[in-house]
Amino acid sequence: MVCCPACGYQSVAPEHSWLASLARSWFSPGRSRRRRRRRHHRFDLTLLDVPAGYRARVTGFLEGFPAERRASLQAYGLSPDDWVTVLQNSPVTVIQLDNTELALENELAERIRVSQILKEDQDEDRQ
Amino acid sequence: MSVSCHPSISNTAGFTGANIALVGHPNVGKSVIFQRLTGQHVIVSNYPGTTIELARGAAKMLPGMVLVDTPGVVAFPPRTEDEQVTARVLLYEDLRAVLQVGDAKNLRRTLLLTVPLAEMGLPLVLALNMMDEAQSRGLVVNHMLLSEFFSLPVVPTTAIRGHGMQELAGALEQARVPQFRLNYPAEIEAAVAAFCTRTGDSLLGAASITPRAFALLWFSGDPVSENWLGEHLPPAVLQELRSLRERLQLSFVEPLQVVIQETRRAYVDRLCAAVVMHDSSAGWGGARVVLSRLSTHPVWGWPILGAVLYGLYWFVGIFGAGTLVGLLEEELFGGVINPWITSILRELIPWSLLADLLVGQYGLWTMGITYAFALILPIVTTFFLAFGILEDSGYLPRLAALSNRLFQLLGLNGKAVLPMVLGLGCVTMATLTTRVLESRRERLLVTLLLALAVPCSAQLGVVMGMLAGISFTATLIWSGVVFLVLVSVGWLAARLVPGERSLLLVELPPLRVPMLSNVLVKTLARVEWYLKEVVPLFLLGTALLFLLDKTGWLVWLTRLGELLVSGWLGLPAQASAAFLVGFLRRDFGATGLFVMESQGLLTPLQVVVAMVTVTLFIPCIASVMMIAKERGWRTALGMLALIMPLAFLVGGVLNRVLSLTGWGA
Repeated sequence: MVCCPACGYQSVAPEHSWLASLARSWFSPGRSRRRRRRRHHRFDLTLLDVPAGYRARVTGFLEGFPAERRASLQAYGLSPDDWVTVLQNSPVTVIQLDNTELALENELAERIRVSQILKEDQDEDRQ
Repeated sequence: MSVSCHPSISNTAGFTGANIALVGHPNVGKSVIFQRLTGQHVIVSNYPGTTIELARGAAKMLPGMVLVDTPGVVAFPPRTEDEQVTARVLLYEDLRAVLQVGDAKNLRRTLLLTVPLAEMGLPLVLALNMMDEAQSRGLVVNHMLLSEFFSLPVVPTTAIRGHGMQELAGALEQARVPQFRLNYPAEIEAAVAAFCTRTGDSLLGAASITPRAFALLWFSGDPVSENWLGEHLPPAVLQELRSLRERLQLSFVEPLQVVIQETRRAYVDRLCAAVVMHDSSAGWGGARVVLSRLSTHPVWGWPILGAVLYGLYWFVGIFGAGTLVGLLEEELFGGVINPWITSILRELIPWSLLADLLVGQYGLWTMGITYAFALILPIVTTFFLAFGILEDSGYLPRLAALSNRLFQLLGLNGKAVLPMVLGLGCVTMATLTTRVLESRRERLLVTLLLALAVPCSAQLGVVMGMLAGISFTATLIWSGVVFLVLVSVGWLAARLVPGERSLLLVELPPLRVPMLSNVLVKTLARVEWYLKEVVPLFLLGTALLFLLDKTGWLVWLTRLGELLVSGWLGLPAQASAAFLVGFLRRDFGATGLFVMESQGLLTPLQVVVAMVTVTLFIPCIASVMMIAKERGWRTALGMLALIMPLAFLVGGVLNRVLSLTGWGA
């Protein structure tokens, strides 16, 4: 219980209530990744913007990209300046890197910055 | 005091152990090579998690040597519990050599793992496997040049066809420590030197890997090496090393792990440019590739999954549980073996109690052995055969990608489909497989769902066999209710268990035509494991029932259960015995109900209610033990306390709903 020092009114302190914490977490505006999706990288071209059948050059990872996922992608051989081919965008993003196909959630794909989107058979040197 | 970060030039002195560790990425053929070199049967699969318990085998062509098959590791430092097991083998075991198995067509990725392994200062051999797939894609790797760069043997192999095994064995006999050094940025090199100086003699002699490798793992934040150092260094030294790492991090914007990995990648890129003589993507075509793409398609993927599930249902439920069980149970055991054994034993054994124990209503032979071999064995064999085909085909990771959105609802990602599907084989094994999941939260959620709503193969076969005998609607009702419970409980649990969901990142290996010999070997190994686990428990369960029956306790327990089983679930009173023994083995309980149904004691409605309840009922004792081992007893008991009342609640509600509609009465 908390007590107002001015009038003495007593109330339950929400921070001590497990149910209140749960409800707060459900209704908090920043909870959903979908709502946070395009706030801070609206102007960046990402892997999610690359249509299936196109290649793109990876230029970096946006803020919020999980460090362990970045390490995994590095272990698979993906790094800035590498070209990847997007094979599909739904229900997950599937990319081809060398002779490996990787499936990654769209929330990861939208945090991988790319440039130079080309058709699969197009040569990057001509750009 | 001057301390070297590198091993002495003598390449094999000091490596007196008898173990050779097989290390490599998932899906590169480590287990196939293990099998070829040892001649032993192991679980072979192309998705991570099936070799969690280390397989060890005497190497046929290397007298005195033991091969240790480790779980697949994507990179160092390890991320999952699975990968940490591999790291522990390298750090803690007395190794004679390390055999890295790599995918020849993905050389860059392979060499990204070779670099840290070569830095460890252990005798190392690299097997470039799947050479046939590399060649079909037009890749030619100059393995001699690669061998020179790393100063270690590089052996091209195609393990699935047995190519290169002799050469590999020869290379392992001559394995040497690679004379390899990669230069990192100056700040990192300085910190590594400081690390080596500070740790000094503590590491040399005590550790199996070089101090330099230890330093790089330490700066990368590797938890396994941190544990090792915690065990061998005084706390004050450990604190100094932590400060060293923190100061080093200040020199870089990126995490140290990323900087180290980027240095390795730059080197590997230059190396690949030198040793890969021809690179072409011309091999990516054909029906197989089209099918691979369709299997993860948002529209076409689902009919393909439906076809796979229907095939599984037909093969296990109709053929296995129907045709084969009918042949074995009714004709062989029921018509020939059991009457013969019963008559002989009743003649030979003068004591009726003993005879009843062996061949009575709850006889060890007439119930225990008959259930295990006539009812369960054909179902389990057909399931493991079908599952082996799915594993080897490369379909399961694609299923993870396709089902990712569904698992998002449950607070998980698509990788959870791997232990869930394996749970359809055996929930005990699947609980162990949850180690492939990356967070404790995900492992807990999947364990709960496995224990609650995933029927194991034998139970699934019995259930499908019984429901198929009624109608397809019965199967739909059962699957719909179980699925609804799974999704509801999963959704709720995801919101109550704290933590964030990890985002899916999984490799999709190409779809392959499974090798029949491989599938058969795996199936036999699994059936053998299953029988060793099942038969004793079936006999124990039968003996328990016999004891309860003879002492009159069974009648008392049945009456006790009547209120719940008859009053609430609407089942005959004797069904409570099935739930009682269902705790020992889920399939045993389902089998008891199967027998009741074949005797005409259950209506279609009662069959559906019984099957739903027994599916949701607590897992078998082996699974409970595994949950307690993996998650702790508190978690295991908490799950049981949730699952048992929920199963009966759902069963009772279903009974009432179906009674109201008049279905199956």
